[in-house]
Amino acid sequence: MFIFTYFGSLIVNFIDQLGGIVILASKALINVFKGSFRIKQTIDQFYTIGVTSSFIVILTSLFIGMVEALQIYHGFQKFGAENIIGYTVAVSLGRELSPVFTALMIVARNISAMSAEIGTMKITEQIDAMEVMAVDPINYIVTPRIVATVVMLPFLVALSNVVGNIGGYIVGVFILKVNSVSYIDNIKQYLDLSDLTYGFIKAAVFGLIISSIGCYMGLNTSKGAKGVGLSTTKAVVVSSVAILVADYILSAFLF
Amino acid sequence: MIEIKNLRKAFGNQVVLNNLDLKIEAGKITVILGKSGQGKSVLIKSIIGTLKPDSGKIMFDNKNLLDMKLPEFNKIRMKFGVLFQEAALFDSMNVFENVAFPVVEHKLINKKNIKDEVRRVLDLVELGDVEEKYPSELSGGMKKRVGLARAIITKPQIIFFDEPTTGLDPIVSYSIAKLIKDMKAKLNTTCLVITHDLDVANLIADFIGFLDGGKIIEFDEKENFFRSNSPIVREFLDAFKGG
Ligand SMILES: Nc1ncnc2c1ncn2[C@@H]1O[C@H](COP(=O)(O)OP(=O)(O)OP(=O)(O)O)[C@@H](O)[C@H]1O
Ligand SMILES: [Mg+2]
Repeated sequence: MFIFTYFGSLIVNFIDQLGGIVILASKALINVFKGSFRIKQTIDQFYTIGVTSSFIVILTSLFIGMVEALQIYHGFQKFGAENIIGYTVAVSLGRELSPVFTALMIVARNISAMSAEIGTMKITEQIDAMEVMAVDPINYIVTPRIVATVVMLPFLVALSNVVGNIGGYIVGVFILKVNSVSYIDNIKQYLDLSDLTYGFIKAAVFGLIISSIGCYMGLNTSKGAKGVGLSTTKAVVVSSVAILVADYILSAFLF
Repeated sequence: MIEIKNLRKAFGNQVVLNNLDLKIEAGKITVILGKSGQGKSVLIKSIIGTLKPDSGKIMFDNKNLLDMKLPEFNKIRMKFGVLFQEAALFDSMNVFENVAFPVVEHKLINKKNIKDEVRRVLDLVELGDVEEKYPSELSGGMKKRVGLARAIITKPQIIFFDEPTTGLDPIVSYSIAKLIKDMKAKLNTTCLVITHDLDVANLIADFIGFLDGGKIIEFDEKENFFRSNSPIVREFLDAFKGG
């Protein structure tokens, strides 16, 4: 019996939160279309998300590209197809690895901080103070963060693509001794622009999902410092899972 | 100015406000006393709309605030000034930006006058050169005074003070109390003040109410209030004298 009520309440809770996240995201986006949208706060967020995360994106992408090259080489070598590893690394980065890993890095680096910051504002009544002064906290706090995440993520994915391919090239050409001309030629010949745009679109969708989750969890913080920790953990876990679920849905149905 | 009728607020099983009635007279200072945890902050939060009461009415100019849609309520809130118990300063902004926030957001004063205006209200709360400091660099009492400056910069019609002098030294407490009195005298500002400090209450109050068990159990003009026979009120007043 207990187990049913447990899972039952879990499901109700899930639907409740999902609804809350969707409503929050819609309200935030309505602000954008109404044009009542804050340039200064948004630029601050561009900076926070774009600049502070580029280092970690560069670092992880470099290694992902290098590992990819290594793994693919061992497989393809058996068929004498090691020349096309350049293309294979580029396409898997472009369509899948860069968007997913970059989004995960943004979750770790920015979404957690977003949730903690908003959560602290909530428990110290800063959000209440804003409301009392007749300033809409969604417009002031949430919209800039969602817009900045949606816009910045594709750029970071582009950066990740560049660095990841450099990593692949280093391992492929300098360590595994694949011919450098054919490494590049293969990419030029087979890689489609759509492989990259597909990744960028994914990234923007991930950006919308994770920033909405981060802001929602922050705004729904209660119970002091412990509550801030709790909502930060939730923001990280839920958005990480959401990235993977959304990745599957986008890959399976949309493209 | 504000009339509260039958206000009720519970958190789970805990009934904090239990059919509370209260009248806040225009142009007067109403002080609410009460023991810790009796719902004084909850009362203020219900009026300013950061907590939603379960039932009752809060009438302002003959309209019930609890029935209003947000845009209409926000128009009324523009007439409010609020000092939160813990000041609620924006910690990503410095003191200047905090104090200027409401007037900048609603473009209430000309851009080039904002600096002078911020300086003026900071002088009123007796804060010197702090504009560039961040809330984390201020003492508790300083934060409170910045919060107060932010609450009065819009020249509100009614100000809600949640323990304006708690944590301040007696000299600053006295000048804050005088500031509240001055604002009433000069600008005819209506004030609702929550405090534990009977000296402050004595100094500023026109009316005093005592909140206990979710109700205002005693409400009167200041002089009469201090002569109250209610045992709960007497206990509170005598404890202060003793201490
Ligand atoms: N958001 C909340 N959730 C649950 N309970 C709450 C909440 N806010 C207040 N309470 C409870 O309501 C009661 C009244 O709280 P309130 O903060 O109004 O007290 P107070 O009279 O202002 O006390 P103090 O003088 O110490 O500031 C307390 O028992 C408190 O635990
Ligand atoms: Mg209180």
